[in-house]
Amino acid sequence: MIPDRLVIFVHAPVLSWVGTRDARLRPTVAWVFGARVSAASDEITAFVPDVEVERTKRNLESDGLVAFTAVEPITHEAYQFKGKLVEMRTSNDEERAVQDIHRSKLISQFTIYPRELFAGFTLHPSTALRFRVEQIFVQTPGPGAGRLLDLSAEAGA
Amino acid sequence: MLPDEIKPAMQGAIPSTIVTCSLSGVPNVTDISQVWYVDATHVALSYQFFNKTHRNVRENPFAEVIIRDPQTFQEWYLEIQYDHAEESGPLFEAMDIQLEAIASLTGMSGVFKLRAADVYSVLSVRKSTSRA
Repeated sequence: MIPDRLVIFVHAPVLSWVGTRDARLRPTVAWVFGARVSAASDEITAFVPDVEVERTKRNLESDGLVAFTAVEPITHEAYQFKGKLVEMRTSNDEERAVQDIHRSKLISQFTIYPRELFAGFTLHPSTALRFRVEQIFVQTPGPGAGRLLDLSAEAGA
Repeated sequence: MLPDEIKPAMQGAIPSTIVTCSLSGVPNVTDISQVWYVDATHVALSYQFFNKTHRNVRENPFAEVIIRDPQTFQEWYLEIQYDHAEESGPLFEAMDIQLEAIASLTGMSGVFKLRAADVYSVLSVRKSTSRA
């Protein structure tokens, strides 16, 4: 379901966030630093630093709805993945390494930004949010933003 | 409620991030070009496209935004509630000028076009603890 090009996109040096909401429909957003895509199971595991994860965890314990957005900051290409939580747990050592690699990619790729922009974030400990992707939307700024991707067409391309 | 030290984070130098939620309970996260300081208890967001964010806040007015100070990289979390839209007048004109400046610096001239200044009440504001 998740096209190869979007697997590559999410694993590239992109900025990403996860959105959730509480029982009163009040939404909250949290930084994601690093994510892994399993195209075979249509799942994404996003790593959210624990310093800002508490509200997100509470929200997901009650309803499990996830909106995950990844943005390439220079071209502004962006996608939003929506789905349902499968698992929420503390990130393991391998996943911590994924986060560190992701930050290093951001620092080396976006030299127009001061190193401190990305280096200053506290990444660990973090929470791994694994969710099954049900819909993918184009989020690149412009009139086409919000378009639902036709995944069957992409698979046949 | 909004401290003076938050104002640099509203220059639009670094895009902000907004999360909204539909009445059916589906969250939506996206970048937003502009979070404008109106007064100590209100901000205005640029409404450029008829998109999910626009639809969501008309049916469920609550949202949260992250804004970023371009010099210190300090982030701020604002819980906000949609109040009204202004399609003309001083606020709209000021935001329109700044949006064009942001667009010209980000390769988005001709893409960004202000349709309205959406004014929100600020319900809470806090500094992020995400930076060491």
